[in-house]
Amino acid sequence: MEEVITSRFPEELVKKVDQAVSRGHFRSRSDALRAMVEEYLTEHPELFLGEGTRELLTNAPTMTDDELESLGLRLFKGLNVARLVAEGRR
Amino acid sequence: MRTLLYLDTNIILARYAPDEPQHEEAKNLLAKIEEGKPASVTSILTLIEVVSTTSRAYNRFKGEPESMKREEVAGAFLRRVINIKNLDFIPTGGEVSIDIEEQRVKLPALFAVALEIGSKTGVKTLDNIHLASAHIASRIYGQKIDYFITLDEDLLKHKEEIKNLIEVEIATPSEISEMTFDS
Repeated sequence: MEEVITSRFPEELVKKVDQAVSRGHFRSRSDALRAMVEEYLTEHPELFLGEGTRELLTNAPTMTDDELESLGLRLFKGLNVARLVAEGRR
Repeated sequence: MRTLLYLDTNIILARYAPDEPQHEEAKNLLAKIEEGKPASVTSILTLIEVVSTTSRAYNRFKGEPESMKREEVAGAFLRRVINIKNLDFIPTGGEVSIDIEEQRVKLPALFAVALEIGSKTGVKTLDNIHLASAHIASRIYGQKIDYFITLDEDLLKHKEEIKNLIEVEIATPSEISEMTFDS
């Protein structure tokens, strides 16, 4: 499925795209812009990282320090937190 | 000059672990930090450790009827840590290229410093990342750290060696509990 997107470009950029098309690098403006967008997105995977983190934070409840302390009392019961962190570093 | 502390992950988690031996000291310290005296920094690694440590501890917790999901527990702690006032996170720094013969390895500046520190201290891998973060804060970002606050037994054991290497005092919350901080 394809979608048509309307977008504004500076004149200079359009000239360069047209030049690339006229020189035979691309079949059309659409083809050129599609290829450029695809290449940029491939070269910048960082644009899609962090979604999971954002989701984690969005879905996480906001808790007060007292509530977190009460949660920590149960969560870390019988555990030495410093050692638990240290174990994770091994 | 304003006193600057580096907070290890275990200090932040000890604040929320009432059974931890230095819980009260960690709690008081975090309260002082949020009031603005002293200032503090930590590594971005701390965020990962907060999530992974609470997530590992969750294994013992999930049986309770009112339990939250693992992600909710980890996320709740992460959200709070990110929002601690006057706690800055030290970035990894730009990319450094190391050329050896025909090979070129690109790595974040933080890892390059950790490589160097690791070869000289013999502490655990991720301890090196924390030490490298403190070193980067002082040397690259001009934030001279006065104390590296930790409960990590290994780091405390190597405190003299680390002090000589990165010029930062290693201390526990109880060791600095009576201290008056400059603002």
